[in-house]
Amino acid sequence: MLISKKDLLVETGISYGQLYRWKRMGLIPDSWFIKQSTFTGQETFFPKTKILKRIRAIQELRDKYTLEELAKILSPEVAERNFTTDDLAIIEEIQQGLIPAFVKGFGKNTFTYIEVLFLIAISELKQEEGLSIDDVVGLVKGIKDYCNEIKSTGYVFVLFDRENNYYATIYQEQAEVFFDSRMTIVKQIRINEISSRMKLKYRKSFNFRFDDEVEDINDNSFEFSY
Amino acid sequence: MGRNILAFGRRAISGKFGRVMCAGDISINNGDIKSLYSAGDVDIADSRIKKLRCAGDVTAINSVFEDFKGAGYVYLKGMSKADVVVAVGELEAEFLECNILRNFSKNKKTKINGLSKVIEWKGDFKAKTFENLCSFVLSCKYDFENIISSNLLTCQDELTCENLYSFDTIEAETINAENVFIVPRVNSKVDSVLGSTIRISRTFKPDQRFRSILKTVNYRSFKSNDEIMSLTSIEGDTINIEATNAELVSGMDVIIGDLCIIERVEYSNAIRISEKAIVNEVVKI
Repeated sequence: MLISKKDLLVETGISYGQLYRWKRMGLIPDSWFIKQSTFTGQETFFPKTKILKRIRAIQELRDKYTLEELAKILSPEVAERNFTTDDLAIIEEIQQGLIPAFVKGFGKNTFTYIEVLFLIAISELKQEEGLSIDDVVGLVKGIKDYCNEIKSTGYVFVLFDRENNYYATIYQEQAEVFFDSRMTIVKQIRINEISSRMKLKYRKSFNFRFDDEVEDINDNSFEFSY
Repeated sequence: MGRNILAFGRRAISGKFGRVMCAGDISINNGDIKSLYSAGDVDIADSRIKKLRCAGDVTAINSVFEDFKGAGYVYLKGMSKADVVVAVGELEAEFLECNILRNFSKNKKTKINGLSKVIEWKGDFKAKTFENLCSFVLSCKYDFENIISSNLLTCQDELTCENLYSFDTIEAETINAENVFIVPRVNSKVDSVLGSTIRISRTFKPDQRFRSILKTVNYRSFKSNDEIMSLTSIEGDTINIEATNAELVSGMDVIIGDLCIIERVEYSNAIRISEKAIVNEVVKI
């Protein structure tokens, strides 16, 4: 069932400015804005249940969190989806031969979305910089305890080389970080970039979507109210 | 402060320097330089450069700049940070974060040989303010808080930012910004304008918000020719437009000024329509 934009504004009490601000910030997916021809010209409609639920969630949470934080909370990267080793095998960016090293390093065989993003980063580094399996296990062991603390993709993964030993640092994108000049920075990788690539490439394979997008996904019925 | 260098021919340096002037190509690794002027190409890695002026191409990896001006092809690899970046040519960046990003010289007489008329950058850019001074296609990944455009700006999809000031022709399917100011241009091609405060006006006078925006160019008050802009819809909380031809204007507080031709106006709070405007239908919602 769909709801028109005007009815949505009346029902939720929000303004155009708020609606479009939330759209800009990714709190409301672009795909929910459905343009349809009506007798007054073209109008925008939304999937009713999803948009009302989303706006209520934003209205309830916006006092506790900033809009940037809300965008992250409502996005799929924090969804509690676990990736098995079979899932990792689907991801082309992860070298198959490294999966046992990841299992060994993390000490488990299911991984969160954030952990998968770091595994892709390490996999890319292995390929580009020729890291050994021991280096990979060492890096995984070095970062595994911090992965639980990371709730969004706005981080940068830095690989250092110090006397042929590799070390990693993870910092938030907005932070200004000064590295010890004695360390050689091998590469800095934006986790956000990997996440964007993942979402685009594996959207169908892993069904990436907003956590409440499941409902009325096949519901194309219309409701006009003038 | 480090020592100064005047170099002819190809040089490679590393460490702390004051002023570096180079007539040929230069390569800098782990450098900390106060100012660098180069007529040739520059390769920079893991360095911090306060002021850079380069007439040739620049390739920089994981470096930090304060004031960067490049006239050739600029390629920034890895994470790059800067205060002000002016690229008078082509720019490609894996990820560049800066306060002000500008795409051309302030001097309108500047001409660059071999530069195509429309510039298009590649990569991922984050800036507080993007100043568009030449014909530009915004097709790269971007996150700009403010956009000030004083030349043709083209965006294939939705153009989004917090504050948009467009003084010349603008082309975008949709403009979605908190505050929108557009000078109507007959060649502009915009389908919808969405936001909180939307103003389309033939006269521009810098207000407090505009004055508070970080920028490198002094934009003065002006009055444009009597051009009329056509679009499909304008939706915002506060709308004040003139010289606009639109099918739908919908908002809370709406002012339809001179030379507007509007098919349908919807308002929820207040409306004012100029005697020099034509409005077919007014609906209170």
